[in-house]
Amino acid sequence: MNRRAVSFVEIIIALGILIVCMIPVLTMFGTSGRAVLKSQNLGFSIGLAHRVSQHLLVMPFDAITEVPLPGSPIADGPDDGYFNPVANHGTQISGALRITKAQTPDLWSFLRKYEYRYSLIVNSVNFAAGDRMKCVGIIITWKEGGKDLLYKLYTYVPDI
Amino acid sequence: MFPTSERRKAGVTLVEMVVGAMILSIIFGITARWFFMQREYQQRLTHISDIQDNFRRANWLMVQELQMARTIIWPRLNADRSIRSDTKLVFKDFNGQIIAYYHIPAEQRIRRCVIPNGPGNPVVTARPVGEGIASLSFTAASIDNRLISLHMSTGGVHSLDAVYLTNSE
Repeated sequence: MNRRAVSFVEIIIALGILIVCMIPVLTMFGTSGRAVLKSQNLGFSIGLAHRVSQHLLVMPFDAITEVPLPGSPIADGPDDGYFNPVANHGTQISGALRITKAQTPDLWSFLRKYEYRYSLIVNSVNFAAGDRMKCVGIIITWKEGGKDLLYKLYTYVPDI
Repeated sequence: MFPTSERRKAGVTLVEMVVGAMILSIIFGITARWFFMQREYQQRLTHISDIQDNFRRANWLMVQELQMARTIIWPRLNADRSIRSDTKLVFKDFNGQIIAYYHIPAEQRIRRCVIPNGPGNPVVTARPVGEGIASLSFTAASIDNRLISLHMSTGGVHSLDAVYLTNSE
């Protein structure tokens, strides 16, 4: 008689096992979400570092100076020639837009959300007598899920 | 009539079934809601991933051609030497051809065309340089017309990059 019946306790245990089995499946969704977010932020950081490296090539040699860690914020940052001002659709300097909440709200909120910053490590290097060259380490830092992340890129800037 | 103890052993009572069904339906409801939320979340992630792909592709195509170009024709710095942005970029490529990239907001596309040096109409490249890009601005950032900053955005996802022209006229 006992074999034909299912007790209430058995149902509860079965449901418990079902829930335990489902937990790994549900956590898979979160893992893939974090991977996409990481990829988005890393891709964006690579672009930022590349942008700085390209801007360094047109900067006056002596103006390339160190920006120590924890770095300069990109949103609400100073007029540095790398990120601010970011655009100007007018014909005068008064039309220049900076990465601020008022002027570029969408970009500003994206950068603020992950607290994007950049740092520069500058070292003078000489490959031959008379050469003037700077080795610049570009460090992009951001916060993601409570963790501090960074992307590093080295570039050489000659004094031409 | 069975004795009470035997009746209990024979099967599940109606109360037990109802309680079991209720618990099951609550768990099913929570799980279904979870799956529905995850489905939406996954769709959003797929969308972000697609946007990133679009940015990467457009960036790569433009940067490859631009870094070998000779000079930027438009946009150029303003008369007061402030930066100047536009949704169009015109430059002279490595072979001396005049090339233009331009953004079409209605189509969310970046197009490329070759502008003839003499009479004739611009020849638009069949395949767009970029698709699914809501906004794009090219910013002239150097006095020698050799640095262009790029800013693309779609649905809250952004790309900030720049390209320096390694060739000179």
